[in-house]
Amino acid sequence: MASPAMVTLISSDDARFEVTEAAATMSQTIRHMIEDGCTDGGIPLPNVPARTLAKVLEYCNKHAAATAAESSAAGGAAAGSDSGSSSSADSAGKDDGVDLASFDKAFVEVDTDTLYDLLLAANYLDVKTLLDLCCQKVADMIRGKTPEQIRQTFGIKNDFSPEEEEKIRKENQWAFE
Amino acid sequence: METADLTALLPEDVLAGVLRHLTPRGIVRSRCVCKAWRALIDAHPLPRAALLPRSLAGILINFESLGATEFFSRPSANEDRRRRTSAGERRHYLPGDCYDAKSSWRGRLQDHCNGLLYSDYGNCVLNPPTRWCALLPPVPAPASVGTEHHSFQAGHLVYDPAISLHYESNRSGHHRHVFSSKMQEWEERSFVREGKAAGTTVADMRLHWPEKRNAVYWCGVLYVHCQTNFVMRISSSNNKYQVIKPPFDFLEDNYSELYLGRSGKGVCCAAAYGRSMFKVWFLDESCVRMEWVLKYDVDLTGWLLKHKLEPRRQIHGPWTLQDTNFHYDNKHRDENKSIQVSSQETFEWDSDNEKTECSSSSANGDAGHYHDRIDVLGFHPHKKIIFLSEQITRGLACHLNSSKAQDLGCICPTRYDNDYMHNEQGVKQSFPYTPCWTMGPSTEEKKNLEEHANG
Repeated sequence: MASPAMVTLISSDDARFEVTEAAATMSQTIRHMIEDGCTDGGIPLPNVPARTLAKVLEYCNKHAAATAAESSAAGGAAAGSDSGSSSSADSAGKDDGVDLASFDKAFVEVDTDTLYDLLLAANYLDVKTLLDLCCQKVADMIRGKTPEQIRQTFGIKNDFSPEEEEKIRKENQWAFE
Repeated sequence: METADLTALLPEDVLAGVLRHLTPRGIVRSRCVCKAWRALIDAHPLPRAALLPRSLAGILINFESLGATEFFSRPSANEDRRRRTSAGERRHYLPGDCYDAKSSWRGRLQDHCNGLLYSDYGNCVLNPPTRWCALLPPVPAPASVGTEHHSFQAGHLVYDPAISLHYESNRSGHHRHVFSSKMQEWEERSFVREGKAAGTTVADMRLHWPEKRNAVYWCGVLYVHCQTNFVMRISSSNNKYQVIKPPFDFLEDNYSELYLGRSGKGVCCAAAYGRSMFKVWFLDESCVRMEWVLKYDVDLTGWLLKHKLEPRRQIHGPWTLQDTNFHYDNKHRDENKSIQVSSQETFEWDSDNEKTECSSSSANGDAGHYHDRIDVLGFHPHKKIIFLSEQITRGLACHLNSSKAQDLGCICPTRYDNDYMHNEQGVKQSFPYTPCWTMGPSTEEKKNLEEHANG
């Protein structure tokens, strides 16, 4: 079995990350760059600092490995190929369903700043599942809060006049009851 | 560092992505956070921005002999929402103007469902706050020949943004034509009756054609007011319908037309009787055979006698009629007579400070007899309040639990003063309007419409 194709990613602060192509192409942005043949000497990602990129790649590695294990388990069962590797992939595939959910949950248990950085990176790199995960996490932080509590959580300045705020409340008073 | 502003840091589409994960309640509260968030929520068609139940903006009323639907509401609401729902602005988005500027037809609305309005004559669906309007293709002629169901048809709108951004327009009958915005075409659907005939035949149901043929869409089920006050309960999910018997014998008792509506978390109906009394029933859907259960029986005779309308006396209330028919008329257009807006009120339904009067259930005998007649205009969508009309003079709000009543204001259209015989006057249809603030049904349709309008 050939060793998996590797690509080099370069963060905004010039740190280099060596990852499998499978993990890297979870990002649609990187996938397009690879398809366009812009991989020589590494792929520069000027919008993502090393700290965030490391975190994103942790997510991508985990998910790419899970996907690979799943498909090779399915493929192995159908084709009955190399017994040694398929049995190990098989056991990995079974664990991953549960494992991945708890991994995701733990993955976004981070401070607000890191969460913003992840959101921005996931958006720029276009990793859809990660973006959804982070959006859901922020939404969870909003849930059940009053507007004032939301402002406090996210450091937002209230730029409504009291009259304006009252008016908006009245438009949908039921939501505040 | 904990308090960096999320809005400043995140691109708009990312923030929209976050808000998309919220419940309607969360979205409404987020709208209140700051201007940027509000603008964002209003600009993005967020699938779950259902905003249900919405606030009541007023009551849409179709009068006998008058072409356009009137809007009866608190004027300060019009002031606030001048750009959204006031007559002046709304007119431009009435269907007649959308496709035929020269059309003499002036926008009569037949149904309202969670903010969307439906017009039979214009054959279109519209949402005034977002300036959205969709013309429906012509309704196909009924495929089956020899039945009466063509005359039996009435258009009803089915739209629940909490479930889907797509709406449906229904033509009721036993074969219904349903237009789905998803499919963009009319299809004929057959519905199978479920349960016993409840002692009536379809012929009985057709004996009497109700004026107030309202429909209610609630939890995926359409309730249609049919002939002789029967209600058809149509479930789209299994293409079945049931017939619910009226709560009273319409022909024998002295009841007004049944008013079908929704209040709080249930389907309800009301009917006035004996000039100054009314009853309210809620639909009990817990058993197999659905039944109307009497919930309120209110006698307003005492209150009405005490607050008797003197002839020619000006009626002052917190609400006014938009008087669209008068203002729209060419003759009067240039007069630019605007409705007097009294802006001092902050009209709170449940405020105890309101000058509401208790109706005494024992009518004051020596105060004389009550000669007018009340009728039902509609239910408040989520408060226990019923709206009534007294002849074509004034609108009333009545708190169901306390039987407290209150003047809302004059509902008599100016045109009635001059142009129409008394027997041509009356409320034909009325329904509460709860605007849908954040969106039209879908961006594509909106785009199509804009292209259509520009091109």
